[in-house]
Amino acid sequence: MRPVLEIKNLRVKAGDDADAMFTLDVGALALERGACLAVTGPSGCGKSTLLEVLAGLRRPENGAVVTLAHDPDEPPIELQHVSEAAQLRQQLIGYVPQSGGVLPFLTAHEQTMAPLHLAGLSGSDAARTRLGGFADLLDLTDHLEKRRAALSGGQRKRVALMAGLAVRRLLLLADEPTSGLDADNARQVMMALAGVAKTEGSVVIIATHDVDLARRAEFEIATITDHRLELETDRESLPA
Amino acid sequence: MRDVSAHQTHGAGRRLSVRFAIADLIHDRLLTAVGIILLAALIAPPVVLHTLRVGLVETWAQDLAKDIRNREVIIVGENQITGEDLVGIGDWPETDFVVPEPSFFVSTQRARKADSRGIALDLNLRTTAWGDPVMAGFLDIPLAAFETVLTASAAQKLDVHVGDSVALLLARTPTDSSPVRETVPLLVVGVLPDQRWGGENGFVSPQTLLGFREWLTFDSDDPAGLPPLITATWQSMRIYAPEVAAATALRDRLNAQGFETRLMTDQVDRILKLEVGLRQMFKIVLILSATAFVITAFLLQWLSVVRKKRDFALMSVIGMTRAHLAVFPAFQGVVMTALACAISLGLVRVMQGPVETIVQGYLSTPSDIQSPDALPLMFGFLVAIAIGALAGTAAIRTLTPDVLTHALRGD
Repeated sequence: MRPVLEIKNLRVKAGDDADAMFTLDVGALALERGACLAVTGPSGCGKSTLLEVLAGLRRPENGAVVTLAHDPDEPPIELQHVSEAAQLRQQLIGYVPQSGGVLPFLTAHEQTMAPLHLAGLSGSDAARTRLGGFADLLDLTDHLEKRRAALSGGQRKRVALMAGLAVRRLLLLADEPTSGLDADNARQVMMALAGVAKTEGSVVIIATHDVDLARRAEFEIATITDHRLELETDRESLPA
Repeated sequence: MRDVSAHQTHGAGRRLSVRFAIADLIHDRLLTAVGIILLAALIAPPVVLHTLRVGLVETWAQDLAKDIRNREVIIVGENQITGEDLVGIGDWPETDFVVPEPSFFVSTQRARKADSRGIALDLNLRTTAWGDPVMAGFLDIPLAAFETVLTASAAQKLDVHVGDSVALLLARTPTDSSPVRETVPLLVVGVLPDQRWGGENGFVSPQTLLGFREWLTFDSDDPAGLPPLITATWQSMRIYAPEVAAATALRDRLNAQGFETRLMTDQVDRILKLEVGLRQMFKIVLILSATAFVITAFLLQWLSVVRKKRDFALMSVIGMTRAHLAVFPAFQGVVMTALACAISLGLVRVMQGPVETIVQGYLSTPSDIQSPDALPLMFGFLVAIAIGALAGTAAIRTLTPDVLTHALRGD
């Protein structure tokens, strides 16, 4: 079976200024449907940068190949050649930022419905029911009419995750989805992420410092060491 | 996974962007209000000045221009004007109407309502003739001898109406005798409204007034006599240009002929100069305001985009393209500019009452106050709104992918 996500020769310039800039070398990696991968490593090692590249928010260095096989009958999308990656984020790729992923002028409900509008699914009862299920799972049902200012930090984090989960994704990326959450909520978040991988076949990649939690949720672990991503299991392809 | 066409998602993205823009305007209502007031403060001055110029000055200028008296060139002092001179002056293209008048000493005589002991009044006698613009609409047939048209003020004080007679009390004093008095009746055939001619005046035919002069100067023994006009020499004349704007040309030609003149249109000249001055000032204010507006609109949108770059980054994350993102500030620019224009229009509406009161106070007759032409005003507003939209669209170009990813991390 063709992997959903395939990475070859991925090198990314990471860091914010010239002094701190380094090249993150991912090498080769292939993830099949339902794969769950947790990228770990010390702060500043390039975890977020890697997720941004995979989300199409940042361009890799020349020579990289990142393909996304969305349809078995069609050639895969070469992410490095997509001019408007936002279109991919409307349906295929979900991305949950590290912090503050909630717009201040929307209620939590409006925020989580926005991806459905963009995906053309706002009128779908099935999609709304599915979203309602995530609201229950993430304990947000009673907070959906609140705006950002009225939400706690943990609630904001879960609203952002719920927005990322709103549409069935081919690839779901979450940057430190459990940071700042209490143990119960962190576990619920990992359950939700692992759930979409198992039940819907999404490839889920998270950046995290909580390796134990990731292991308990049956995520494969990949660690960035010396600016190089290495899988804990000695494989280049991760099955579900 | 369901496929949705790019066209559908593009439409959904634009609609979502508009909804976000509205939500943000309401959420940030204080800043929205400040932005609208700032834009209105820049749009309002040229709109207000334009309204003032049109409402005040143009209405005055039009009022003065349609006042027949402002077409008159007043002959100062006394001259020797023959019938031949009058024919020549009447043939000038600058002349619309001319009627001869005798020396000023015959022009004011005592008058009283005939057959009554009513109030006697010093009536200022002027000549008139067929085609007199002052009489237009009030006297449709030539004035016969010993007929008069009184001004409303004179008619009221003498307590006479059309069909009544006025007794003119003429007096002359021979050198070796006591004063001799004669009464000449004049039939009132018309009453001029005050706005056509003010003061206590009576208009008579030149021949009638010439007869009075002959009697007063002892050249005749019959005050009711009608001496021939053709041989008469006159001391003055009442002369009008065809329009107010031509009065200066008539004045210049009369001056060139040796007449000392005074123009009734001085105030029109002043108003017209004021209008030209205001028009120039309007242009300067318009240019300054337009420049300031464009800079402010772009700055406001740029600052708004910079301030909200994290929000834009989040919108991009959920799948809104750059085109979708551009709709957000463009729509906000349109709404804010449109509201600023509406405030300016409201200001004009509020001003209309006081402006009308001021203008009516200066008008010779109550008139409709000129309003600015709505079409250029609306065109100006549309341009302003388009600039508001353009400013928003331009501001979004500052959001490069690097800026968005930095904003996303809250750097």
